[in-house]
Amino acid sequence: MKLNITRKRTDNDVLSLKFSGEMTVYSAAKVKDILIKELKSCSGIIMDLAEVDEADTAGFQLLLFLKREAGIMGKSFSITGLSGRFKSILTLYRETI
Amino acid sequence: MSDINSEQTVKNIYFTESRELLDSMEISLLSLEKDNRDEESINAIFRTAHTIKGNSGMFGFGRIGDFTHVLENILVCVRNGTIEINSEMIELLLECHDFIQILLNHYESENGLPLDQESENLFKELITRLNTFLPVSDSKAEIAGDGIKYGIFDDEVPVSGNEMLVGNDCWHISLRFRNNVFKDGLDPYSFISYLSEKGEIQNIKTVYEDMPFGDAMIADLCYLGFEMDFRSTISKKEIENVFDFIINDCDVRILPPNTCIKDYVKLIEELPEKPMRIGEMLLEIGSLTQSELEKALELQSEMSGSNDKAPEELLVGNILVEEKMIQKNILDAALTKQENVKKREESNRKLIRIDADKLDQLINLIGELVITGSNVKQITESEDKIGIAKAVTDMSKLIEEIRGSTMGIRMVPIGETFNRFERVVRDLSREKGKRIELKIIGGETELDKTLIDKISDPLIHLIRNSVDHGIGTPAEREKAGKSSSGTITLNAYHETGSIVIEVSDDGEGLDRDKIFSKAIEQGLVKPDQVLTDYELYQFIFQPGFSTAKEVSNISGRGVGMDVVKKNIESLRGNVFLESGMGKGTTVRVHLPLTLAIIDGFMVKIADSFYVLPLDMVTECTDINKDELDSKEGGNYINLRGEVLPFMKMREFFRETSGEPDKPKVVVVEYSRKKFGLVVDDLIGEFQTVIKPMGKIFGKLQWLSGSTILGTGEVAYILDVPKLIQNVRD
Repeated sequence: MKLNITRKRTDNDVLSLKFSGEMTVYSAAKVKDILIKELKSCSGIIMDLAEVDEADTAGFQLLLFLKREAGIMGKSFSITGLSGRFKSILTLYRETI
Repeated sequence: MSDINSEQTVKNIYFTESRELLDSMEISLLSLEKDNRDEESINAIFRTAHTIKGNSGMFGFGRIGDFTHVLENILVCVRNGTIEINSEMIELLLECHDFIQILLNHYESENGLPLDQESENLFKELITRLNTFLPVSDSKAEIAGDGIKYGIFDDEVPVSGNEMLVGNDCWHISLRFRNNVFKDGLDPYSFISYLSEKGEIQNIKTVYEDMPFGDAMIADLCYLGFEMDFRSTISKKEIENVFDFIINDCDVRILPPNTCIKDYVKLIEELPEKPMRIGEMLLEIGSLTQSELEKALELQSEMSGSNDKAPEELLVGNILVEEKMIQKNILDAALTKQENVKKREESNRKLIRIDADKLDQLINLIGELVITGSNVKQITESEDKIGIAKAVTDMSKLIEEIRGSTMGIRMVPIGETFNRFERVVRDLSREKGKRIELKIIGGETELDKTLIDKISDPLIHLIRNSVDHGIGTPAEREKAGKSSSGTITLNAYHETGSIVIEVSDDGEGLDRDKIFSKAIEQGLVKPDQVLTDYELYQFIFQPGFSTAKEVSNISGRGVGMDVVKKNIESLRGNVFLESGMGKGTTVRVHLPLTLAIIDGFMVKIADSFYVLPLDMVTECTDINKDELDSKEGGNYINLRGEVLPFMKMREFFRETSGEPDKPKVVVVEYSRKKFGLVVDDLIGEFQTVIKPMGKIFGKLQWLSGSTILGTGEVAYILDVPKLIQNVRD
């Protein structure tokens, strides 16, 4: 499991997270734990997924989940960059997150 | 109930009338093509468009109205001379004619659902092309003013909810993945992406209602499902195959395009999510329209309302049934579709246009019958035996006449059908670069309506054959010393108890040698066999037999003539071929006059009664038993100097008891050939209603049915053509 997360807190307490590596079924549990924790301590999250060179439906599911959780907690949630792999998944499922 | 019925009746009249108008429009267009100043034709075409347009408004057949409206605009300009009629225009108008026919068929069978994409495109294309003919000043404004609506359908016909079909013509696929699909190393992405290669995913929606919240969600379990609309020509089996590999980890539900709304109701019930939510999704991806969804949800709540069981119980208990139901849904949809077609055919058959004279005649006869009936009643009270006998004779004579004229009502002239072929010949000969004229003789010959409907397809096939194989290109014809344009003749006439329809061409004729070598090639004959023309031409009716060097899109595949023959035989008819090399080919179709009642001639063989169609009986004669027996081998007698082949019916039926000294010979004629049937006794003329025989007797081809005699005994009706074939063989 290769996954690096660089976190940067910006103004308004929004957390900017840059992911690189894989976001698949193998890393999903980990990413979920980290982000649920982070969500509680900030006002919102921006995810940069431009360098996630491996992704699968589990990763996609995780994004859906995080978006929903953020919505419930009243926090902002957005995605800035998308890797080619993620793009093709989102295109097939026709979801915009 | 009666309201719906009467509405349906009015609709049926509309469809019949519109089709008739279209037929005459086609004829007018074709004659306009020959003479582009023919005002009567222009008027007739205009009237057609106008009437169809007006009537379609009554039923809210939006598309027909829209289309004929534009057509009418063009025709107004044609009529007042602003637009000139040229061949391009005629071509376009013919296409419009065909399209209106498509629209009529659509509205008749589809219960007021939207058009399919193909027709919709054609609709737009034709409108655009029509508009290019309009003078600039009054084109667009007119159309915008009248508000041609693309995609809005205000013509939904109320149908009972369950049977209502869904307008969407995509497959609907519901996927629900099980939790451990990721753990099993499978990624739904690869399957859906594979599916998208097999067609087009019109729309897809991710379903994750069941995904737990917060900590309860385990990220390496799958909580996803998908609802999608999939447009493709592949079969259900093929769609299932896509998910074959993942089938243990995924529930797949597939609904066919245009399925019943109740299938969607079932889907909504079956899926684990809340009905409203599923409904919203179906709406969002366009599987259902708002009104379809409302209907479905309404039905769904009705159904679940009447069910007291706990939802869990329902789900578990239904899993097995579920699987089967999906199969059943598809069956249902297919059945509904078929039924619609069947219904349409039936309603076509129900309506016949009758000549008012025929009806008047019938009413007159019935009037007389009533008078004679009361006369009989009066006389029976007296003791006047002769009077009674006379009245009864009068009455049965009237009944016979009534039968005759009732049958006559079903008879329609074949000319209308013939006229329809003019278009076929025109289109085909153009496509093939040939010049062909269609000549029609005997269009007034009357034929049973049912027969006409059924004979039309085989005739078209024969005409196609003539165009494609019979008649050559102008160059080929000139080389053979003929005029550059060929002629196909359709000729209908009566002949001893049958109707004969001839399709003949003045083309190249059948090539004996080619047929012969092909027959050898297919192992049907031996090279040294000598065959008569008749025997040789029979090969053409063999399945898969074709001598055409190339298979064209019209004919030549070798399927066809056998089907033609089968179709004609199923109508108790027969096909004959005549051909001369270089002179042309004539195909002669013999059909019985009617299908149900015949004038019969009853004979007796041993203890049984048999009926022969009277029209085929030409004479009866006595014969000495010795004369029959003396013929050694050859079954021929001398009938006033003519050689008459005969068949001993006793032998045929293997009757042995009580041979009479003076057997009788009934001479029957069919297709210009005479044959003698040797019977024991002649009973006489007899009107009979043909009752079809059960399937068990299917193999007895010489038996066309049975009838019940006044005494309760059964008489068999013999199929003379088949019997003759037996004699021949």
